[in-house]
Amino acid sequence: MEGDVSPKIQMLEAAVAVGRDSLRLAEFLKFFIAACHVKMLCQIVSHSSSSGFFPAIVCREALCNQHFIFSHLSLSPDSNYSKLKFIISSSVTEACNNSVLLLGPRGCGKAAVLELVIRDLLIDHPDLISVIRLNGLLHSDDNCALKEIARQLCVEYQLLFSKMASFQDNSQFMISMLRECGLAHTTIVFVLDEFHHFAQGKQRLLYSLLDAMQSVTSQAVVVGISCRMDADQLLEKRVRSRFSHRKLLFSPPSKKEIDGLLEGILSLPLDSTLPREYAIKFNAELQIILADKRFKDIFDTLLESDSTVHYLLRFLFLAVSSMDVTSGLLSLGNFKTALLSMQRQPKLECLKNCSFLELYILVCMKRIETREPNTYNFNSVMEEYKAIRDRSLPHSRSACLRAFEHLVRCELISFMNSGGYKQSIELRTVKLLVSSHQLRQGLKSNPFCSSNLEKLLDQKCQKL
Amino acid sequence: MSSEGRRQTRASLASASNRDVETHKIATTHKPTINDLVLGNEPLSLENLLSSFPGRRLQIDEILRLLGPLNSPMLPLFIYGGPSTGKTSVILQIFKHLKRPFVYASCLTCYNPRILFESILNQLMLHQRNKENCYSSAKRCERPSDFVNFLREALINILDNLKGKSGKSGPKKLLEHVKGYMIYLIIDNMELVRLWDKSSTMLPFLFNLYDTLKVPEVGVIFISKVPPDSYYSNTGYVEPIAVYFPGYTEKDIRQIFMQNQTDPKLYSSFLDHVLGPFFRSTRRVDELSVAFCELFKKYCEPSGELEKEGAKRSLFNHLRPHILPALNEIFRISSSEVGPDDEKAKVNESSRKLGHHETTEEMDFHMPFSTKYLLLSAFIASRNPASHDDSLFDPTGGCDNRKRKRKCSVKTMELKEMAELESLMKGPGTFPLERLLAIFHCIVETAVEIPVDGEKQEHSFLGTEIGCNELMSAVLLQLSTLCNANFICKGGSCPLEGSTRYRCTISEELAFKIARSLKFPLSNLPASASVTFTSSRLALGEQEAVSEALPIFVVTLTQFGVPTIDYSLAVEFALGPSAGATTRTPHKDQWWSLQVEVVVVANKVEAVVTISEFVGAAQEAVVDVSIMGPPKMTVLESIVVFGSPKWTDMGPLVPEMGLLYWDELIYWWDEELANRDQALLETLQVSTRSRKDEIASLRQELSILREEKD
Repeated sequence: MEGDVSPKIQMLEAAVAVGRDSLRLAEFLKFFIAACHVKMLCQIVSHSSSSGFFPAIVCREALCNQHFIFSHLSLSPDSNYSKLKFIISSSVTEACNNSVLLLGPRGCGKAAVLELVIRDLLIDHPDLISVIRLNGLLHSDDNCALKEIARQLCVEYQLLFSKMASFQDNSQFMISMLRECGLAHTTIVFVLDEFHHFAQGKQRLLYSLLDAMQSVTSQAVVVGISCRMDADQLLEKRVRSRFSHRKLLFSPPSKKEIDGLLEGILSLPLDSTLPREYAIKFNAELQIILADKRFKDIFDTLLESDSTVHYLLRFLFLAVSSMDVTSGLLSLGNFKTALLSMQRQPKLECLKNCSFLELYILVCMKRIETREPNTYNFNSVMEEYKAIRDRSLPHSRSACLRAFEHLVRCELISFMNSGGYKQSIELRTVKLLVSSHQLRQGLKSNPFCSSNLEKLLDQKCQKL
Repeated sequence: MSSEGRRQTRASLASASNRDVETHKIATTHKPTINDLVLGNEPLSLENLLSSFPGRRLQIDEILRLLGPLNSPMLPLFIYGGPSTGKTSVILQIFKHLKRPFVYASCLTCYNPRILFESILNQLMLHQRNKENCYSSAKRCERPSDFVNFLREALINILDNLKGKSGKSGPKKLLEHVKGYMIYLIIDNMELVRLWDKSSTMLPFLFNLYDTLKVPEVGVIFISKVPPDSYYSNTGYVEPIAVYFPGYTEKDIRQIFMQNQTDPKLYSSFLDHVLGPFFRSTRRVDELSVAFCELFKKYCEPSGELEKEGAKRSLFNHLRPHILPALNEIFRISSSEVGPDDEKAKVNESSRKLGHHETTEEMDFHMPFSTKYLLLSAFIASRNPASHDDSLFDPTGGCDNRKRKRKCSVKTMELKEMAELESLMKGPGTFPLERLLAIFHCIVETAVEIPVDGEKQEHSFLGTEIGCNELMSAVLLQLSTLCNANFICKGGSCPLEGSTRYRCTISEELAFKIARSLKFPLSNLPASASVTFTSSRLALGEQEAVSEALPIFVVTLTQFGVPTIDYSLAVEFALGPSAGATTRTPHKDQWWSLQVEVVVVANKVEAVVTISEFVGAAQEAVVDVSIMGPPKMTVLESIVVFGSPKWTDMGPLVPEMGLLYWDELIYWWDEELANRDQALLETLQVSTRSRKDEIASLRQELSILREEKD
């Protein structure tokens, strides 16, 4: 905002010169305050009041659009994008079968890159590619998967789909469709998301698919997507032998790529419906933030825990959603709040939420645990509680049992064996799910905690 | 679930307006339209929204920001926080404020995938289950794969409707309430999905729903009581954006309770007294409101002289005695609200919850006599080790042939500790069927022996009935009834014996209540002990000789487990020709007076029995200790007898009847000591309370002496 200082002063002088009477001065000051923001914003604010707030939506749309994001990462010639595109397009142009596995941790954009490739290929060769999408979470059952393949093929070629068809029928149908497509020089791309789920059981689907591709003069590509690096090892021998061992490894983007991505996602396009001047101002503001040392610190702490694209997107989404509505610009504060809500410590939050009685019970359990780990239940907790009870707390069993149940529900404590639900709650062995460090921190953050309670926790530590 | 179902929200605020909608809908049975995807007709301003949720301003702001302006896409949200922190209400009211279409499904009511899927689809397809379509759903959908297809179809359909609304003139009027073309799926109670059969695929599927659908105009919101990290074990999804609802602070709670109060001043002064102590126990609004409801009624009782200055004070004084009990039996819903036909529910509750029914003296359900006896025998079998059965039920004593250890060795002390720990860990013990039946026979026999007026006939009838073998099936039938009612649970079968073992799960209160209704001496039976001294030298003909050297007994007991607060101990001393239940009452020609002083310190009970006067003759002395307390939880530690040498060749201590641990019993008779330490004996006769330490030192000395002697 340094650039705005001189106009401000000019305006102030003008105000003093023009506005002798207080009313006009006040009006002028109001205008002046508005003008302290970027000049162009005046238009924007008037614009935004009519049709919702635009810049935020543009950013959010950009964040929710996978194609847009990964097109930034796919520019270099040796990227996975170009490799994958080469594989599939060679199959389209040279009429051959192919199979490939996309492996990498979650949130690296395996499926998104594939979608991008398919989209671009569909533009290049319309009518020559049809895509069948399966998901291991949905179609891990072989029967169900073949039915889904048949259904999608029917939709693709405007055929009548029979729900009653058996596995055999559907399999026959798929093979004949493969043959037909091969004759028509159309490529069918089978996308198997969550590939490792298909590799469970007898793998009949994979076998019949890969077998059909070998025996029939077909033209198909099987693309498996999995987060398990050993996904190809899961395959049976007969399936593995029919599978080309082509693998594309995806890894989280490098620091440099992330920097490019940041800028690419957040900066507003100049040719959109937004006023051009505003977009320029917005982007300039963004550049200042990105260059800021403090922002870099925030960003580094973020990437320390996770540097996948999805994680980054969540962070940016939080930042954009906390954008100031009146100014319409991103600020450093937005990123700070986003980082705070990314770094949550649920256990501590839970502990902060506990009532005094519940804290007391936790401390009792901690004390017992150091003495006799793994063998205590509510009855022994009650014994301990009676020994160190605070006068202001209720002494009855039922009240404590209630608090105990709360703790179980908050998952601060849990029962040791899940099988013992025939027994009543008092008798089942329990364990703490918080470490003593967490408990101590929680005690400190809890508004009810007395120093006495902390002392009780420390006493036990001295005993050890 | 019909589309009405989702209108049931937990907020009392919303329920009023919802009810209007519902009755309206039922009355006219109109076809649901897209308008029904928006909650409520009347507008809700942001100020109203914020003021109706005290202490939730930050969360509402955050959610509003994340939902974004109209028609902006959204990544999945995950809202979590403890129970009764207003998650569901806040979300629903926010959507009421925004007037955006949404679909709400709770995994609590939709308890399996199929019902969840169909509920969502019914709402989206504007399908209403009614009589005409035989309450069937719009689509039959069991598999996630079908669900995704149907859902995508339905969403695209709805979105076309919503987007096309500006184009057509016809439905424009219809859709004036709905804002924007984003549609939101709200899935409540996500933590329950973890308990479903296919949770390992369902959870990743639901969390990935947004990515799988590939419809950018859909926003997915999850509501959960547990934090996101408790879902980590089911890996395989990209984490949603988390919003946390913290618990209310004391100030917020006060604001919440002050809402909709007719007499704010009175209620505020009531909260001054009550909120503090209760807030230390729980921070949940629902529990607090139940507790406060009752208390406030009590508080208002003497509200005649409100206008006076001291009224506040007197009101508080009136209330004060009620606070602590209410705090202790926190949040019991009074059973008066439960209808009389809900007996079964109450039975279950009383069996499950310890200490919830101590106030009611009578049993609040009916049970046949033989079933009561069966239950009592199961209780006795569960609470006492099998080795004590003979001492309990054999009239001849049954264990005088056993040699007793005179001293508590380290090993027995350890064993005792182990037993203590075990009783804490395992609770009531298990028993085989044979033992249950044996005890059942025994106690039915004693019941016949002790005729109780009014029930005499039934008892004797019962006795004969049970005596017959052919009616054993009836008893077994009742056992299975008790098992079904969860009074007795079938444990795992013992691998060695191969037979099924049972465990009694009823609380002591319930057992005593049943015993009371049968007039069965349960409280005396398990925890009483008597010691009989037989002696030929105890020919107490010469009155003078005896009275100068009457013995003093110091009885020490330990109670562990769950010490009862109202603990009473009665020590009875009897001299008579023979020991037995019938002769324990004094004969005509005998007369004595006893002084019993009882000290209860922590879990040790000490009773000093002094015989001050004695007239008559006896061969035997019987000390009968009966304790009104929990059975098995009491151990007779020692009975120490101080007295004159005339009592020397007192026979062995014979436990006559009782379930105490006799292994630990020591008795001490020492001529030497008695002669030497007359002074000590004298000190015993001073006030018992101050004597506590002396008794301890005395005992120490005794043990030293004993060691020397050994």
